[in-house]
Amino acid sequence: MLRTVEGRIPIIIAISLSVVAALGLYSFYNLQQIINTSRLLTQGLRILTHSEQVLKLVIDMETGQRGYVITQDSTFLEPLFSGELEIYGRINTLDSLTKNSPQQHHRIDTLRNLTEKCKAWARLIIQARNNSLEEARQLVLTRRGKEITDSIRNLVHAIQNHERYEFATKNTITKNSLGNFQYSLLGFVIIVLGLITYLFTIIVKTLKIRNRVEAELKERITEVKDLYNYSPCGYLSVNRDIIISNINETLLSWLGYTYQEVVGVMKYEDLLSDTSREAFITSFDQDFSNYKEKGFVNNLEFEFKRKDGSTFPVMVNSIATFNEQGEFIMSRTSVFNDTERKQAERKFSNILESTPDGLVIVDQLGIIQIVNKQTEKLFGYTRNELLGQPIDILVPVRSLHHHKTYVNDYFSNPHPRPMGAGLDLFARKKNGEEFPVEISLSPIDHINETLVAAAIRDITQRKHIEELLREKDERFRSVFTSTHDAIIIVDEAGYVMDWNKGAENIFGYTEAEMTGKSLTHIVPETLRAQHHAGLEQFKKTQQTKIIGKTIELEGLRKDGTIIPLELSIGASYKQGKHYFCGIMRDISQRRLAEKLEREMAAIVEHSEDAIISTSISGEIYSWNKGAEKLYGYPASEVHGKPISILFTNHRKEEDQKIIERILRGELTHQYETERVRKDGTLLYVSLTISPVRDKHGKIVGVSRISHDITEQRRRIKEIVDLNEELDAFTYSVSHDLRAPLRSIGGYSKILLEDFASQLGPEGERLTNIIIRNTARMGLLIDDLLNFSRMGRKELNTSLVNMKILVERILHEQFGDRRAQVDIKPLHTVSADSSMIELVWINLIGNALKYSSKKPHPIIEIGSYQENKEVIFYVRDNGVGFDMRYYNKLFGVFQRLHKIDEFEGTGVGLALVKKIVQKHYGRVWAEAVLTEGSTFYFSLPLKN
Amino acid sequence: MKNVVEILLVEDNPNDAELTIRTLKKNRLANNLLHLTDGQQALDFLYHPDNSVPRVILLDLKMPKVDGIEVIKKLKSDSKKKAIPIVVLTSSKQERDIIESYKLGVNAYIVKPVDFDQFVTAITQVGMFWLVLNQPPNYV
Repeated sequence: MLRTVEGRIPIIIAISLSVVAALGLYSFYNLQQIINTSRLLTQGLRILTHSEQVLKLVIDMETGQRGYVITQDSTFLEPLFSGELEIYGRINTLDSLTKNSPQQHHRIDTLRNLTEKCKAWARLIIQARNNSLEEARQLVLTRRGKEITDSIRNLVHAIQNHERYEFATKNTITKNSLGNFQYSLLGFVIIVLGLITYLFTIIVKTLKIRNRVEAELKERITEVKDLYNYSPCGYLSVNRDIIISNINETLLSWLGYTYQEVVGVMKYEDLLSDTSREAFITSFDQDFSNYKEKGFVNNLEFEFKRKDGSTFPVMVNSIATFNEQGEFIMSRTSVFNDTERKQAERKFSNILESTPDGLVIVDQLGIIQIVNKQTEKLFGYTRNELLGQPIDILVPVRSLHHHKTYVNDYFSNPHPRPMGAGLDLFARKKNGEEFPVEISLSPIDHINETLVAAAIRDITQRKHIEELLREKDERFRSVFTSTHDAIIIVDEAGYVMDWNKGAENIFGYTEAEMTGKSLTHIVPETLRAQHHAGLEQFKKTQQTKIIGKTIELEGLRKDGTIIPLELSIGASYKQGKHYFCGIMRDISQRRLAEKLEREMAAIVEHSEDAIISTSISGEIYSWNKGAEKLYGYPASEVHGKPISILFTNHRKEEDQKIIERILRGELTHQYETERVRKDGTLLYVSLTISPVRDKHGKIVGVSRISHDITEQRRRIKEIVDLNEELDAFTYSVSHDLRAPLRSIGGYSKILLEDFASQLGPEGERLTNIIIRNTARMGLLIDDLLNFSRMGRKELNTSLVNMKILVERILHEQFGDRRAQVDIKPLHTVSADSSMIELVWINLIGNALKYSSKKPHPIIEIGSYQENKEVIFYVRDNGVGFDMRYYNKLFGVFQRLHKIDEFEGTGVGLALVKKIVQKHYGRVWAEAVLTEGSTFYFSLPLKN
Repeated sequence: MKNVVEILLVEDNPNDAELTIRTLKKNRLANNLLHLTDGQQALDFLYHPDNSVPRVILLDLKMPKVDGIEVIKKLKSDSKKKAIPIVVLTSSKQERDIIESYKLGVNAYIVKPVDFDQFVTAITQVGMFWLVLNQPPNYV
């Protein structure tokens, strides 16, 4: 209602104001009208006055003139003169007053003329009187003066009538305006009065409503205050500085403070117990900024401290308040006294903690709600790490899937029972370790849901013992079945009860064949009597010589052969009966080894090579005849001495390094080194060092076989020296022989060019022969040089695609060939491509050369694999050669054809041979004279 | 007034030198040719202030006193002389000679062909190239 009145007020005021404004305007207009009219009325009044005066003056003048005519007394002329001036002035005034009325203005002009005429007439009369009365009388008798005066009078009356009429009209207008003005003023007053009354009513009404609302509010505040103060939980507010700004009576009564002691004085943390305060202050910055961000915090647990210093547990919920800028301004906190709950909890927790098993309580979602101390110990998690986590973190990853099924099954029919009966259950520790457990489950009804308590018992120890027993049994079984020894258990009568695999292998009888049979089956004829006697003796005396001993004897196999055995016998006594357990080992291998060893020793002893055994540290413990011969020391002199007595000074560390490598697992190591003899002379040996192992495979010593290579080395050095000499020779041949050759050729050419006429035809022929031979010698030198250089060149191997190589050679080197060349598929091989290129150039070049005189030269190039080689061949249908001279084919400077038949230096095939040999390949040829030849070279598949 | 030398031929074998000079003359390339017979003479000439810088040095390797390799070493390690083109003209086909010469910075390595026709062709081409085709730097 208040609202609608307030809403209406502006409209009403607006309407009222516009009406007032209209009335005001109207009044103003009327007032203006009145003022205008009264101004016009004054003007009219003045016109009336002035015109009246003019008429009076005219009449005065007339009267004066008449008096003078009659009396000729000049005093009568006075009004005539003074009036004249006054008339003039008044007519001017009238003139200005009537400016706005043309009608009146015209009349005034007429009046001015008439007065002028009147004046003139007066003068004329006066003039005439001065002449004579008669003359004046005659003039007066003309009545002219009276006519003028009458005209003036009429005119003045006309003017005055006009003004009077105007006046009457104006007066009416003024009256109307006045009336209008009065009414509008009245209206104005009425409306203002109305407005004021209306506003006053509204104000009164509003005040009434406000009073009522305030009263209600007061009542509510009191109610809220009561609720606040006497609520069963504590309330408190803090301002932005965490100073307590309000607190309720309940909380005060818990704390024992008064309102004044707390509000504005204490900070929030002052209410906390020492431990709580420490925790609060430590993490305040982080917690408080989280709180401000989130806006609330629930179920925080603290301890409050009473005024008397005692403490009590509380749970607090807080809500933050922010201003419009989003700044924190205060926080409201409700406080629950947790004392009773805590006591109940403690009681429960005492029960929980006292159980010897780990206890985990989960809800239906599998979230851990409660755990006990034992659980922490079992799993290595702290309580806080577990609470609120899924139970899955305690379950081995591989069992998670099954576990989910178990949990669901359990909740579908919850009753106390062990979990996973008959299954091996495992639990997972924090560090990932697993341990076997036994779990009992019981449902707990809690408020609206069912929780499950799982008691978890670590059965590692029990499992471990079980496992040990099982393993032990298994070990026995495995020994029994897998040993190569025969294990045979017999009763006291000598009948077989157990017969293992080893026994089967040694004697040839199967377990089924021997079980329940007499042991005499495996006792050779010669020992049977002894065997029976032994058994008999045991029956009587309960003892025998051989129990607990190891003896060697012979056994009889199923196939009738006798084998050497090693036997140990044990006896046991169980339920009134004796059993014997015999363990037998076939020692025929050992016997054989012993024989071999003796033979080996003989070989070692008589070997030409020095065979020396040392310990790992190099102590000599065996030294054969060969060593005596090679190094000059007799065996007796070197026993126990270090091997280093044979070392030269600068090779001392070499041996140590090789021993280290052998200890790291290298089988043998062969190398060449220097040694020094007893007499101090130096020798070179090829040394093979290998580890000596004991029966467990452990390296216990080193065997060193050395072979004298002094002579061999001397020869190799000789060859190397020779090679170097040859190198130097070929270098100088190539260089120093070239220059004179060039001179011979050059000067011969000059002879031909410059002195041809003096030489004559025969001279010219001879000179040409010189030139040809010079050129041939140049070629020979080049080829020889290439050949000798090839011997020294290192192989630089890579995979060579022979097909591409051959095609390129044909294109680059033999582009102008006449022969038909047929390339079969060629193997790709590993080779030095630049050297192999020379092989192809020579072979293809030869084939082209020696077939060039045939009408249809055909060349075939191909390859095939044979054993571990690839064989390449170049076949032509050329002149071939006589196989009788085959042995000269690949020699240097060896030619099977005359120089004038086919050009060539005789180095090409020698070069081919050298290159192929460098590749560890072979080269050969087949030919039929005049029909063609085939040249082959082979390259190994793998170097 | 400097002695104008366009080709400096350093060659100890008088026959090879004669054949070379003859070939160059026939091609009108030997107008300003100077023939010296060992490396020491070559260095003396090149380091004498009155002498002009040749457009090319034709250098044999095997020579008495100072050999060709030493001459190359000396010239190519001298910032004022290293711009002079050196063409090795030798009988040696040895790989180690070729590699060493190039490592030291020679501008070309020509093996003198034994065959005289080929020899003439080679010398003519070398002369044409260095005296006619090649644009040398401007020496101050």
